[in-house]
Amino acid sequence: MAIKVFINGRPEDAEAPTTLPELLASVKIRPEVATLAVNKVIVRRDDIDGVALDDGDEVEIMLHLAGGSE
Amino acid sequence: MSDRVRITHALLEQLHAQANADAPLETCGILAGTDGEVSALYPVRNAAASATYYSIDPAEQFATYTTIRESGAEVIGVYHSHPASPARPSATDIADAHDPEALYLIISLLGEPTVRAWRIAEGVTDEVTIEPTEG
Repeated sequence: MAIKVFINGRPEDAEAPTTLPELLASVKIRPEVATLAVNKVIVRRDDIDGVALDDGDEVEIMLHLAGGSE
Repeated sequence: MSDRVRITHALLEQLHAQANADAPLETCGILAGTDGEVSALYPVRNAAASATYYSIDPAEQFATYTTIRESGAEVIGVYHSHPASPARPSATDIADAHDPEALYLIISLLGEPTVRAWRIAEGVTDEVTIEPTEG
């Protein structure tokens, strides 16, 4: 069944059942370099594998921001 | 993605002021706008509190992203300062850059304060020309 999820505010088509790891793989993002939120709640790293996505879910993928002068 | 970015003189001055205020530590923040234009700066805390490194706390990053989206703008990149080195990406900046679409803006306080903008993808840096505008 086709569902629509919102990734960083933009609608994307997905095929249910879809999990958060599958969604990340589809956009080629490694979970270890991102903080993730689903429906405005941050998902703990240890919980990512168990998150299933439903139609209309809002997923925020925030790539880690860091760096430095040395 | 644009190879140029417009930013007002007022925002450039704001960047210099923030970098100077936080020196000798590195300062940092989130850039809002559209591809090709910075419309607002969102200063955030340097969770590393370091003179040579910055990191943004994920919860503060999430809150800032939410604020930007609710304002109707887009998150377009990140900025940070190099208090004692040039405004070009260091090896650390390159290694820690995970978003090839993001604009990485660096403020240097070495000598005459300067701001330069970059994209960083797969270890390769490309400078983005800054076009200062009135305002």
